[in-house]
Amino acid sequence: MSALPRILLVEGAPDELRLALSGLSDTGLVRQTAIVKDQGEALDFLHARGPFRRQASELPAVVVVGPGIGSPDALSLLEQVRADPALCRIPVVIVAFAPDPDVVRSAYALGANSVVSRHTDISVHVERYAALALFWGWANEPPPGCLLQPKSERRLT
Amino acid sequence: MSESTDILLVEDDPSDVHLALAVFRTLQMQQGCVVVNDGEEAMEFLESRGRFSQRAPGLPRLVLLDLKMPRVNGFDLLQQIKTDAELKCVPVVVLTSSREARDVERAYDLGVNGYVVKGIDFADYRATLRTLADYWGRVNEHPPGGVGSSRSVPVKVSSKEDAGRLAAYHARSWGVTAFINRFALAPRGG
Repeated sequence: MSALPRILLVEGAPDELRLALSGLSDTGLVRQTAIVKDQGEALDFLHARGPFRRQASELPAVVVVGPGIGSPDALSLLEQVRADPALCRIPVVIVAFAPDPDVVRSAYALGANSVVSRHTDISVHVERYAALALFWGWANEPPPGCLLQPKSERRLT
Repeated sequence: MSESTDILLVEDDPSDVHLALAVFRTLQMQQGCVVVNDGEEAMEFLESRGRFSQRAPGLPRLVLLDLKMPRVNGFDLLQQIKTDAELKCVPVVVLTSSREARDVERAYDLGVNGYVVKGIDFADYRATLRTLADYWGRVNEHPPGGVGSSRSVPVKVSSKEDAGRLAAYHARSWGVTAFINRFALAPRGG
């Protein structure tokens, strides 16, 4: 993995992590993905503290909160990121198990950039992760302070 | 593509409108795109006012927004959407030629959901548009209670309409939009 990942994946459930990485591997971004297992680690990573202390100040281009985190913790992490002046602009995508309308509405109201439903068909779900990675890892321009992709890699195929 | 793939394209450049519609067509979106030329028209659409007062109820699944436009520009429109209780959850993605940090930062500060830079290279730009349309049209979960089946915009793109769009490509910007929307917003018969 690169020292400066483009994607921060927050996922604590091993099975869900495998599916996510399978989707990311289809896009060439799996090696530019950092993995943490819960919201505490995610905040440590974003603040470059504790076991995630590092020199570089850049942030990932997107934080993807997987379905294994659970909606309450996912929304809590989102709320903390949006309330932190150093992190508030970073794109956050929530992936949730069959999210009920209240969860989706809350996620958008709290400032989620996008919400993705965890599809029950594994192949569809993996493909959704690939599409997610393509958009947020390649197509989207992250806010200043987040890691930009090298210009030589700015080509979608 | 799901039934609720509705895009409000806010763009005043006819060539960009043409390219976007061509990409949406290749993705076989069964429901298409409403095009407006500036932020004022976009708000008229979102609030079902003016010439959009008779449109079918519903909010688009995505607002795709250029920044530099006449009258109400992209930043002003973004601010209006994201401070409106009824509209703020509608996903808005900026599609612009500006990669300037101050523009990117301002858009995120105003609550934009995504920011995509129009590439100079045609193939790159088309691929980027495909990625964008695929993700926001098919993968993203739209906000409830305002977007989707209950309030979807029943806009369909048929081959006949697409042919019309292509014929309108060389017309002036306002002419293109009026032409497209005359078909796109017309009530659907059986």
